[in-house]
Order: sequence, then C-alpha cells, then structure tokens
Amino acid sequence: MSRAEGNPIAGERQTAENAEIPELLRLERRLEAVLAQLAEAVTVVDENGRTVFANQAAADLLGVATPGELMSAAPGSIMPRFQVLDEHGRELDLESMPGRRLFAGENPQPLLVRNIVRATGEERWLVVRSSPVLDPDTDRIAYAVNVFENITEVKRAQLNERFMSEASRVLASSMDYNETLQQVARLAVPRLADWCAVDVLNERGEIELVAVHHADPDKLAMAERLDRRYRPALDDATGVAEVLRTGEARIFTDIQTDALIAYAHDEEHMELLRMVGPQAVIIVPMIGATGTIGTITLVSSESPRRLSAVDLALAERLARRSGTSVERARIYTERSRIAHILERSLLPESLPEIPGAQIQARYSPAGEINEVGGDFYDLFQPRDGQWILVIGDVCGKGPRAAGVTALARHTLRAAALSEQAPAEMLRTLHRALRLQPAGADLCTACVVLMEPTPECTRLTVALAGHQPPLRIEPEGAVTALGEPGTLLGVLDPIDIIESTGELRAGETLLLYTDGVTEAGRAGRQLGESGLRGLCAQTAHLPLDGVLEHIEHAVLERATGRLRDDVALLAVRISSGPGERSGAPASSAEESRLAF
Amino acid sequence: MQVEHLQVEVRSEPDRVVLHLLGELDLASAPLLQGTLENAEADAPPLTVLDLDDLEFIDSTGLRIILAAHERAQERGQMLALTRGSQQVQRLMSITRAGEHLRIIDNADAQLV
Repeated sequence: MSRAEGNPIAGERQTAENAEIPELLRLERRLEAVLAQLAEAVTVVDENGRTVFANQAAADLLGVATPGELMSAAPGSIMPRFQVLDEHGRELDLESMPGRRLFAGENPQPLLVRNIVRATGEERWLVVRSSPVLDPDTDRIAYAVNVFENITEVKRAQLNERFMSEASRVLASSMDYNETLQQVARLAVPRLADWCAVDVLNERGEIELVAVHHADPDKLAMAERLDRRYRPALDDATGVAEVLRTGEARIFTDIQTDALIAYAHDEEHMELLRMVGPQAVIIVPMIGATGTIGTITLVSSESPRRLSAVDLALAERLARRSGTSVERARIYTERSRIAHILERSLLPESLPEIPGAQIQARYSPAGEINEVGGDFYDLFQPRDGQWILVIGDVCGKGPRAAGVTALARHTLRAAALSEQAPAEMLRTLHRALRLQPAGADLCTACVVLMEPTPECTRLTVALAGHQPPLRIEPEGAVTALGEPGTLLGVLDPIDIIESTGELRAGETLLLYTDGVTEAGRAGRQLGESGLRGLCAQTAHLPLDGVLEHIEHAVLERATGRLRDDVALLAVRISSGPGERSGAPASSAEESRLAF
Repeated sequence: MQVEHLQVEVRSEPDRVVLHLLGELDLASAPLLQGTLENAEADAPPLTVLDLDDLEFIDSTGLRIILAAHERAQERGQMLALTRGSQQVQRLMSITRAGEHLRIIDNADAQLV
C-alpha cells in the first residue's frame, strides 16, 4: 500500500488543522488497511482523471505492479491498454465510464463491461460502480470512488449456458446436417472466436469442410480458397487430422510465425495462413456413438480477445452436442433412403400399356420423408383381355403400415391370378389381414376389372370401405360407380358387392384415395362434390391435365402439408383407332377427344 | 398431450361416460382420443358414448380407434355407442359400412333399450 500526496482520505485540510493530524493519520492508515483487504479493485479519481488512490487489487486488475504506478500514470493513459466493450460488443470510451459521468453531473448506474487486455487477449467481465466524494466546503464532487467487481466466471457461465441453449435449438431445428453445421459455425462467430470451421469425415473417409464462417465475407472467400488448395488429409501429422485420429481436443495459444512456417506446405499456403492470421486455435472433436465423426475449429485472429483454456471446455461441449446431432441426421438420411426404396416396392415400377387406352397415376406421400406406408395402387393384366386396377389405403404410417401395404398389394395380385373376381379378391385380402398377428390393420380398397370388347370396355367394380371410382364423360358428366362394401381387416362379417358398368370411347375412370378429398382443414377440403366438380370442369383436357388440376387443388388445400397420402389412378379409353395406348397423346389429339 | 385441432371433453354420468369430441380426428390427433379412451375404460363404465356431433372431420385413423374401442368393449361385456355426427362422419360410416357394426344413438344422453 502506498500513499501519495493529495490522498483524498486524508484530505487537504491536514495543514489547516494541525491539532487533528495524528488522529487523522491513524484514521487514514486504518482505512487504507481495510481497502487493501478488499477483493474488489478500488480507485479514487479526481476531476482531471488523475488517480489519487488505488488498492493493490486495482493495480492487479489494471495490469500494473503497484498502486503507486496507477497514481503516477497520466490521466487516460491506462484505458488504451484495454478493449472495453458493453454487453452487446459495442466499444466504450472513457467518457461513458461511470466515474466520468459522475463528474458530468449524472447519476450513473453500475456498468457491466467486457474488458479485454490487449497485451494478452484475456477477457474479463467487470461491473463498475462509482460513487461521489463531495467537497464539504463547496458541495461539488471532489472525487469519484470506483469499485470494479470481477464477475468473469459468473458472466461466462451465464453466457455459456445461453450459447449452448441457442446451439441446441439450432442443432435440433433441422435434419439437414450440412445446413445445421453451417448455423453452428455462424453461431460461434464472434461469440467464441473470429473464425469457425466444421470438418467431417465423409463416407469416402476424406476430411470434408462442411461449414466455415467469419464475419467478413472477403475473409470467408479466402478460407474457402485455403480449403480448396490445401484441404487437410487424414494422414497429416497435426491439425484437424490429428484430432480426428485421436479424438483429443487440441489448443494452440500464442501462435508465432515459426509455427505457421512449419505447418505451411509451400509459400502460397504460408501466404494464405498469414492472411488468416491465427493467434490461437482450438480444434475439438465431434464425437458420436461410432467415434469421432468430425471436428470444430475455432480461430482467434484479428480481435484482441484470444482463445484460451477456458474456451476449450465450451468448445468441447458444443462439439459433443453437434456430434450427436450430426449422427442423428445421418441416420435419418439413411432411413429416408430406405423408406424411399420401400415405398417404391409398394407401387408398380411402371404402368403396363392397355391397347386403346391411356393410363396415368399420381402419388404424393404425406408427412415426413421416412414415413412409408399408406396408399397403394396397382394395375396389371392377370390374363389376356383382362386388366385389374387397384387402389387402396392402409391405415397408419411407418414400417408396420408399409408391411401391411405390401401384403395388400401382393395378396390382391395373387387372388387375381387364381382367377378370383374383384369381390372375391377383396374377401381374400380381408382373410389375409385377419390372419395378421397383433391388432387390427384397417384397409380400404377398390378393385376394378376391365375387359375391353369391340363396343366398349366392361367394368366390374368391388369396393371395401373405399370411395367409389368416378366415370367422367368427355362432356363433363360424372358418375360414381359401385356399391359400398365393408372395410377390410377389422370387422366381421364383411359384405362386398360387385357391380358392373361400362366405359365408352373418350370416357375416363378415376380411382382415388381419401387423401384427395380430405386434404386440408375441415371446411377447406375438396370433398367428393368438389372433386366431381373439378372432374367435370377438366373433362375436356388431356388426361394428365385432369390429374394435374386435381393434384394442384389438393396441394393448395393442404397448404403445403398433406394430412394423408394422395393417390390417383386414371384410365381413359381412346376415342379412335388413331390413338395408341401408352404413348403420350399430343394436346391436339386430346382436344379432339373433347369435342 | 397437446393437439390443437382436437378437444375431448369427458363427462361421467351414473350410467355412462361421455366423450365429447370437438374438432378434427386424424392421424395427428388420434393419440389424444386413444389416451382419453384408455383412461375412461380404466373405470370400466358399462357404457361409453362418443359424442361426435361436434366432430368436424374424421379419417380412417380415427375410425380405427373407434372400431378397436368397440371391439374391446365387446370383449369385456361393455358397450360403446356413438352419436350420428356431422355429414362427413356419417359419410365415412356409410362408405366403410362401419356404422352397421356400431351402436349409433340419437344423442349422448339417449337411453339404450
């Protein structure tokens, strides 16, 4: 503890009232002793910015050896040693410090500052409080007493929690892990570092840069160039490759040019590295259940704050959390791929050709991409001169529904091949579903047998809990065919009724699932009458135009998210011998159909 | 469970428990009904009534839950009944012919003879 002249605690009156000097000196020493014990840094500053008193804690905080050094420093000469920012990262000047504001006649609130020591890059969070010492003679402010409370640990813990909860939110927001990791990189800058890069080990076993971020786009372009030219290889001795191999985080502080030269492959590499200008680097492994799947690299370069060991813990938490997300996203992508393959097995590879008829089908699965099952359709020729059209809907989604859907489709095919008529085919499917173990699997289906004759195409329709197919005449008349039959798989006994009809040249038969009529919220749905109306309005259009209009109307009502799968299967009997089946008809030919 | 488009109100009467469904019953909201039904069944009421008059929409998922509840009630010697419901509900019941297998009543408090 040192005592300088002009010490405010002693006051200037010591010369005036000599009798009280010994008493005052004792008081002063006691007060100094008390202040010296304080953990908080305390300074007393006069109107000219001169420090007239400081304790050792203040000297330590402000980076000088003794309080005396602070007291002999020129006013304003200490502050430039620090970068002083407010909570939002805005730089603060001397005039906005509470002590200065006291002298400006204000009544300043305690100020939270982020203080970075320029010499070392150390970051501290301080609460600065100032209170006035009044001159008893003039009642003016003689001194400001500044108390600096170091809350770095508390503040950092709070910011870390906030950062991690934000990171968790970002990581949970998407199943696209590329996009997610780019968001993580953006999140880390500038909160953690000046640069953030994320590398993963891809399926080919190569290191792949999936995200890199820097606040300055020009610098970003440079990083990408660096990666293109000098992408790290797995057998590199240090850096990303080493962390990938070992699963151990690395931190490099106080990086000197020598270290960069040693790391650089050649002069161009060195030049790029120099432009990045790393001062400190942290590389942490992203670890999933299968091991290290990638790394997150943090670099501090131009900003005064340097990465240090205290940042490492947060970086490791971020990487762990990211690792879990990446792995989950990868599994999801793989499952989507499997779901896609499965889904194709539920639908015919391609539709066969029917001479003298055109065929069109549409299928839009609802819900998440890895949910399969639900609607199915089929078209096949069990024997010469006969065609079977099938459309159906298995209740539910997911692997179980997919299994039931496959069962339904194949059972109906097998039944048709053993010469069963449509109603019997559906009864066979019902029996097959009832044999399924564990619970009710509800299925609705519509089967139509088509037999072309020289005059017309004869139809035999059987329904099991399914919407009746629609016959659309070219002039726009729409008729529902078939009689309601019991849905399959849950109720006994079932009643399936076969009915007959015919389809003439130019007429269309449309099979559909309830996803078409029921898409969208109640009240906005197309409904059966809406669908009939749409069919009537579009009857003159080419067949794919009709289906396109229906699909569009459905998606519009679903407002982007379907409640249920949408399946459409349509057959149109060609109007003349000139039209060949299967071949896409030109619109000119199609127009003739309508008139 | 939080399902925004379906609400199930449960009312216990001396002779029955009434589940009043409001809104839309589909794949997303079906678990809410399923859970509510299971809770109601735990008390083994002789009669469970599903009041569908304020149900704006039902799909096959919803129907499956009702049919499964119907089957459970039969196995336990209890009864499940439902009100006729909106046009859309009635249409589904007639297309699937499920209505023929279920006990339909005029209103939630109607006496079963």
